[in-house]
Amino acid sequence: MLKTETQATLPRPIGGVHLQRTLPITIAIGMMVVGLFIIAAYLAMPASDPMLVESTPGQLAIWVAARNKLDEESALGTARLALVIMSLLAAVLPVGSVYALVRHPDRSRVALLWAMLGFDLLLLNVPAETESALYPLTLAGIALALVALFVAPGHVSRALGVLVVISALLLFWEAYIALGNATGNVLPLTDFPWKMPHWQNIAEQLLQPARRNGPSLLVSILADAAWFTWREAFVGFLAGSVLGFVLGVIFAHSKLLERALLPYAIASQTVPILAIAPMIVSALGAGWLPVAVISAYLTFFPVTVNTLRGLLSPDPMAVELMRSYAAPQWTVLWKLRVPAALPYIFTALKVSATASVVGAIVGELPSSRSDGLAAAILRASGNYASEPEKLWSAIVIASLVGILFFVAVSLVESWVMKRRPVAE
Amino acid sequence: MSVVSIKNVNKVFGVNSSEQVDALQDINLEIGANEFVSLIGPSGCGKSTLLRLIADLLSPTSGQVLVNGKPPQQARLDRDYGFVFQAPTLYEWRSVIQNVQLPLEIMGLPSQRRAERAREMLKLVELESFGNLYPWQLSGGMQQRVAIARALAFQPALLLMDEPFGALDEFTRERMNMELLKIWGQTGGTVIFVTHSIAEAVFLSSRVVVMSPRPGRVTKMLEIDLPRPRAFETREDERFFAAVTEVRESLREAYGA
Repeated sequence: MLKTETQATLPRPIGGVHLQRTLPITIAIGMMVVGLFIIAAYLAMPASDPMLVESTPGQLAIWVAARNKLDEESALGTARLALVIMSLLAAVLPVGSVYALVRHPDRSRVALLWAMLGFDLLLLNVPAETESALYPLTLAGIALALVALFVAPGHVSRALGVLVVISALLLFWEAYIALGNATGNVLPLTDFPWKMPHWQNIAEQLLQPARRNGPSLLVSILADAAWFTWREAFVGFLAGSVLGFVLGVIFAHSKLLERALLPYAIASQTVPILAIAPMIVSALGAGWLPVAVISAYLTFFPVTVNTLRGLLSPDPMAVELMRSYAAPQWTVLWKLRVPAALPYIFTALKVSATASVVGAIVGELPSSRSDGLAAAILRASGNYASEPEKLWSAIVIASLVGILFFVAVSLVESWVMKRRPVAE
Repeated sequence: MSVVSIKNVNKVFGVNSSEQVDALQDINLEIGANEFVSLIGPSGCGKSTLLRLIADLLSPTSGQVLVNGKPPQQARLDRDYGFVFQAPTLYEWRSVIQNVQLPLEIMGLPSQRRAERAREMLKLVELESFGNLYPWQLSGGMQQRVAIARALAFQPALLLMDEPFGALDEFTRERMNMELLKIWGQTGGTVIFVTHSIAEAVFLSSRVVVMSPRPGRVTKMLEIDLPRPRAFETREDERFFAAVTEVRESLREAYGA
């Protein structure tokens, strides 16, 4: 019943003791060399070098300087400092991991992970479309880090698993673009008008004004849209969760109603939401209400099913105990069934949190709400051929809303469940 | 007046189905105040079923059960008995002391009185310093002691125990037997104790009711007149061995019949 360490996210180190130490140490030293080279290059180049000017912080610095009438050269100096700090992460942390590999093999993956994050950051900042070696070197750094993490010994946490997958995706994404360029753009999504942008372009776009010479950065406009959409999703999530919970309680207490109504609850989830969203909008009028309703519609079902399962989960003896106390139904519900159902309910709430955001975005489409993420996505996909980065920016922000909502519900869960034994 | 009076009770599971099972047949049993009665028999002899009839967790197919002169349902609604299950059945989201308070909460005691009572009960089972731990942090024997404290928390005059120590190892079980007798010595009242351990039944009881399976019947009642208080030495007493042998013979007869 006690907490067991998650070892399953990545395979255990392969090879013998020899391979477990020397290979990751060699790779870590390689990462360090790559990082040092990038630092040296950024320290040595003049402020007008395209690798600095075209980089994400470089472009941001130029915009800030222009808006505030500052000296462009000193702004670029700040950008250079930012790039050097990122490369320092990538160059210095492998040293820590070499130390860990020698002295505390169990902890060697932590330093490697942070070094990999340093390279990931560089990938978002080092301009890709130049002749310079810095971009391929950054990719090489990520690749080295992935291999090192794979072969290094030590504890595998959930965060490590997640970040490794993200880094691998970034790497494959960029490698695919390179492959596309090398093969004359015959691969899908490598040519106009549906060309995949570099991640540096996406990051740069987020940190550039939404409209040319406009007053606010795309990221802040998208953040406003995300906040707008999340509020609708949150109302829908709350309403859907309450509805789902109440239905679950009703079904748990009445076999008749469960038999009669549960099939319809299931059927409701097979109806394509896109088809009925316009009807809900026309019935309830434009505004946040139909959006929240659609969001609730996607939210309630997992909560109903899991609440039902959870309420019926207590051991028969636990129920008989209540009977021996002559406890009324209401007491049995609140003192036994609901506490026993909480782990099930939270599982559903986490699913529903992400579903509610999708529901809100789908709901915004027919209700022509122009302040939300749906409108941002629509606008951006209209201009995909010329500015593919904008759509990807919107996608990244929309995903972040769902992920953060999921994480928030998980935090509430671990706070509520902190006294319970951790399930195996 | 008997605390528990059972007259001509039959219990059939799955009436009118192809898998009809006669769990209990023609049971007659009177249990008086302050008796410690064990129901013993092999699996399937209906001893747990009989206990559940007394507790109104099941109803007899025919015959009459009276608890304190009332139908079992009334006795249950009046909270006349405490029940200890095979498993501790502690609620994992409640701390030890909150588990002991559970029946008192349901019965509407004011919270200060509840906490006092729960502390007294934990003291009785010698777990007073474990009140703030959670059930999964305790050993199986400790968990079952919490369950006993919970069953005694509202001071019922009748304690029903369904193989409470069945899952424990021999050594822990013997210690728990001592504890139980000590607690019983302090609280008094009537105990009906279901077990399949002959030694346990003899050691604890003033009377052992021997049952046989298929259909479940009472085949013999044996008075155990070992002196009280009983201690570890009791198990080495010749009279203890004699009583154990007698129960074993009765069980074998019941099987052979």
